[in-house]
Amino acid sequence: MLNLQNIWVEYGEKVVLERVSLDITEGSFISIIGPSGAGKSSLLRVILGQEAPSRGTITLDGAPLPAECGPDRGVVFQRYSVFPHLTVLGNVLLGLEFSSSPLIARLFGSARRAAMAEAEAMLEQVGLADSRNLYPAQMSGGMQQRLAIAQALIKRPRILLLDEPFGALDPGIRGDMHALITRLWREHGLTIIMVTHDIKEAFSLGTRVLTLDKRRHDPHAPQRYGAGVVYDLELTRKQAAEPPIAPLGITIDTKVNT
Amino acid sequence: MFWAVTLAGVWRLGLGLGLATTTALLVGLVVGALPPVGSALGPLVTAIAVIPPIALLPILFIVFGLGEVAKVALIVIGVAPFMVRDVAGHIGSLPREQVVKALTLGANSWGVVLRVALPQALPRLFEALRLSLGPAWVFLISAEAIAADVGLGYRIFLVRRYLAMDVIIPYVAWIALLAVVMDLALSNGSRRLFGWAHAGAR
Repeated sequence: MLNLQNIWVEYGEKVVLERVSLDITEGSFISIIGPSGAGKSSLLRVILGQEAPSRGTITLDGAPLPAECGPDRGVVFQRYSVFPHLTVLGNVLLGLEFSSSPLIARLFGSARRAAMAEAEAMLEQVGLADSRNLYPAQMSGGMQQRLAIAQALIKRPRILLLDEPFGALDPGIRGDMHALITRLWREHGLTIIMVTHDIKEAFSLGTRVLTLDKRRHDPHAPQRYGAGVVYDLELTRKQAAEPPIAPLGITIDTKVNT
Repeated sequence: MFWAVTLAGVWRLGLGLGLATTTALLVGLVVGALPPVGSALGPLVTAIAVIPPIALLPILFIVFGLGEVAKVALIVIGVAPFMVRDVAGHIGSLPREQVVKALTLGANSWGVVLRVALPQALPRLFEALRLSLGPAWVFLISAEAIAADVGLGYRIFLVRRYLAMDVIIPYVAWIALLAVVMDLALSNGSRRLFGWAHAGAR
């Protein structure tokens, strides 16, 4: 579905990513791991459209992807993903208000009631139905990330990008979140691309694990060579069974791709 | 006479602060939210901000005459640049993630300004207004001391020549009381209107 052809990301002299070519099939859950500074987040930003690659092309279903953020690609960051000045319900409503009311970005009357019903259904799915009138500052980190996921999914994106979404959470909460994201991924038929530092998380959630690192290194000019994909592991049933399965009932998706 | 004097002073102060707040909100929002405008207007705002407003007072009196306009203008010129910079800086430092998130939710630039930048600028504006109360009083009293026929500063500086401490001290206390009440009203108003911005303090 999503195709990256020979992507380079360069900031002046500094090459961050080089020769990245990927073909991502619909419904897959891609984990991206790699050392710090290996361009994981840059790759995510390029797919998100926040940055344009300096070379190469990205196509979505054969059509070139515009280098701007849009509602077809949702995103959850590690922090700052929710708006502090809106309640839980307001945060989820915002996505619906932006699209149906471009001038004032607010809804009234029956349109608002319909949007609120939709937003509440979404909050129900992530387990925040009882917290709809809280502000993000009154919630724990795990609840904020649940909200961020609900907020992104209300736009029904085809691709959901996660930038270390569970990195700041306690291990126990993280397990709950893994179960949640796995369930939502199946139910919504999402294509998820997740950047993470946690190798166990990458293997237990993903159907495919990409490792970014520098293939070449010049000690006198470390900025000259960028990172590329050094390992690209499709997790088949056998491979997926090998790493210890995380607790709390997370099942590994074994379907290779549809 | 006491109430007339107070009313004249508070009216000038309120008008000046109101104009300054409106300016700060509009200019601050534009400068903070739109980087190209910010790089063009920012240095101008900074340049105006570094001029000591009291030094401009003679110019204001010459340009606007000795009436109300010059006094209100002094307050506006005195506090607006600070507030503009404060609001613009706050908006400029909103996490980039929030803007990206809003765009992925289908917002256009106007939507980002309206639903993301503006609501988060308002509590900061209240805070800037509270901090500006002190300077605003200074400008009001100085303007009234130099040229006025009614006003708090005028009273104090009028009776100064008679060393009339029995008049000066109550007036100073009265000004202090007014300032405290305004400050409390602003801080309570901000808490009531923008509870989310004060969640950490409660």
